[in-house]
Amino acid sequence: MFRIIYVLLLFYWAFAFANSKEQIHKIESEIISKICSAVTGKNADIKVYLTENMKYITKYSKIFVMVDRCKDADVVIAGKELQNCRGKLMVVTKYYLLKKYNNAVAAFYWYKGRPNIIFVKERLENFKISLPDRFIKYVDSEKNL
Amino acid sequence: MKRKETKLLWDYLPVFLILLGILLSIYFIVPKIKAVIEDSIIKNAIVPTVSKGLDNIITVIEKDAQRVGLKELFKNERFREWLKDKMSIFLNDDVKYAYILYFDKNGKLRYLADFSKEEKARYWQSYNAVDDTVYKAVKENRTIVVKQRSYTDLWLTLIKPIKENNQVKGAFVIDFSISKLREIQSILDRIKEFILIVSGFIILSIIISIYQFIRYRKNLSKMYTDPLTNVYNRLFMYENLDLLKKYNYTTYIVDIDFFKRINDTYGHDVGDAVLKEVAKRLKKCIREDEDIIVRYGGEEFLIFVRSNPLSENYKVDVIHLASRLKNEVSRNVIEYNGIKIKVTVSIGVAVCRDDVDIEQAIKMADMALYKAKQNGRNRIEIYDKVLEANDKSISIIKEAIDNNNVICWYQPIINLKTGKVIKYESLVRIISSDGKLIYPHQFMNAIRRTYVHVDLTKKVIEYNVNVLRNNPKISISMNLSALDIYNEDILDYIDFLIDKNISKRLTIELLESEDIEDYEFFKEKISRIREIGCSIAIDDFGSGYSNFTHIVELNPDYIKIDGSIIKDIDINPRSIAIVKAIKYFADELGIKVIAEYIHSAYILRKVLETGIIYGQGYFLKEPIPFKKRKIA
Repeated sequence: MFRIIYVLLLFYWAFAFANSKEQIHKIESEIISKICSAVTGKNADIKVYLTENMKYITKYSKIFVMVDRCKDADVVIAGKELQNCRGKLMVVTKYYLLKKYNNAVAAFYWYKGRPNIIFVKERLENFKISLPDRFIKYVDSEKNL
Repeated sequence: MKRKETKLLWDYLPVFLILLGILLSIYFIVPKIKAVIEDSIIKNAIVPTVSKGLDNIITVIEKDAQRVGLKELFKNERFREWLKDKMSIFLNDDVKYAYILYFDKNGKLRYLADFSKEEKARYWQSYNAVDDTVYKAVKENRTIVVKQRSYTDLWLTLIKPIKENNQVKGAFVIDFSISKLREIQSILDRIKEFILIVSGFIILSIIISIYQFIRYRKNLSKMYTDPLTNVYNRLFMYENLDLLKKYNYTTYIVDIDFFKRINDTYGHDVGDAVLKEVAKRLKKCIREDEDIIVRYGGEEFLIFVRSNPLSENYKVDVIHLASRLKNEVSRNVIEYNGIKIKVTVSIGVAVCRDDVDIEQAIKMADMALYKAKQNGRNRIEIYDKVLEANDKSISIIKEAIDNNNVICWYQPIINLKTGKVIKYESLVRIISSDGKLIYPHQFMNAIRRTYVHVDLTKKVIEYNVNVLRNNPKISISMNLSALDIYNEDILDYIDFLIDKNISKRLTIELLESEDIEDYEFFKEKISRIREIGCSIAIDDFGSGYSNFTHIVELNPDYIKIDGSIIKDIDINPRSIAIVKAIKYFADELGIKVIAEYIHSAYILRKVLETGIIYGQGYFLKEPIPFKKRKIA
């Protein structure tokens, strides 16, 4: 009897934990989708090249079409460092990657326990991207990074 | 019975549903209670401790900002250090992040200072959180406390606007760690578990108690039910007297007429079938939920009918119901295995009265029943003033017993040929407190089946034994009823009181053979009397419906022919024939015959003509007290 209760509790705990992680992934996917949509100007079929650790976003967002090569993508979403994608429109999920890659126009990252967004003004201009008004408050100059 | 048990379970269904409802309510209410407690902790314990100190600091900041502006003020490294020092008071483990935000000229939020232990922002770093709460606090110019979502790894955020020249230009933000929430939640979870466990335990206990109670009632129901007739038994009545005292009941005792004859004639199976059918018919006449029917004795049923004695038609209703009970039983014959039996009942009724408790009511109904039986059976008698007078006489008898005012008069039984007295029949008399003599016919009915009767019998035995002891040459015949013989107490008393010298001179005269229910058992009692050494006589032989076979099985020494036969022996040829038949029958079995009620010379002559040689009666000698009689 007690064994059954322990197993049930284990299942409950595993499910609750998985559920919490899933929830975070879902939120991340939603925000990244909005960012990508804003920088590409497309609401569907955004060709995206993903680093290995970002593949989960296609599970929750249906506006992306994954491509295998960086050069075929409308936007690159990088969750870690990557090679041979210079000059490609990039959205990153780590703040330091935003500093590292000049072609990273926006970043989504977790800071002080919350999801954060930043768009780099100069880089947006380089890519001739004009953002919808609701994102203006997240735009900052490259010099403030 | 089965239907009643099912009904019992259905009766408790609402209780189970209510308990289930309570359990579900507790289950759903507890999280709400938990939320209320959490809010209370936030409002009264967490926020005030930080908020007040923060207000003081904000006052200082705002004061200084009036001079140089917030942006410039925080550019000053020394000011930031001073503030950090002040802030250190608040930066306990519960506070995860603490920082000051500022609106730049483009309306963008930037960090002016960050006192957090980790993820510390630098001066003028942009604030990019996907969260509008700070904007809201600034816009509304008021302190806001926000509960963060679970994924943020934060519990609460306290936001206080900071003004620069009376205009809100920034905000002080304190983020509380989720670990504090978890700590509180773990306490609340324990409280929740405790409430649920205690509630569950209480509800489980109630369910178990109800289950046990149902089982108890089921067993009780079996224990209280007469298995043959399926009505309540005596035990129910004795154990539920309090319940019976709660309401006003009219008491009916219903006795099946000549039931013993049915048993003797057709056997016990038929007797049982009659009992079952009578019980069924009686039940039809009463209300199942309000009235109570009890199998009181072998063939006696007690019925308690809930009544309102103040109602206008009360007495009419009582008689109406009694008639209905009587007619319902006798209307159709009872058929069993092809045997058809017409059954009648006698009913005694005690109307409900405030001054009478249930035990007295039963006694009153019993007395009324006795009267009904005496008056010819198949009738209804209601306890009335005359019977009430009898009731009063019980106390007079009891008083006489207590005061040793029980005496015996003696009438000789004579050998009619020799004129010699062979023995004396003892006849009980009571002397009342005012010195009046009370004869048996005045009190015997009243005390029948009461403990007073037993006490009286013992007194009579004691009296006669004394007379025998003091007069060693005489013999005495003493009357005992069948109920006395059944009473183990009385037989023990005789056994205790007398020795062989006394017992051989004592004859026990059996009265009222109609009361003999179980002849085999009765024979055992008679054997015991014989073992003590007493002779046995059958009184009133030839009257009523005495079963000759059974009487003979008792093997009496004497048969006393009933006075009703002897008294008209001179005018009724049938009486002569009966007397002759009894004499012949007794001679064949070696039983001596005594003729009583010899009240004239003519009767004496007629008796002698039949060959009977023992007799008694007023013509021969009338009963007188022992001291007056010159014996020996």
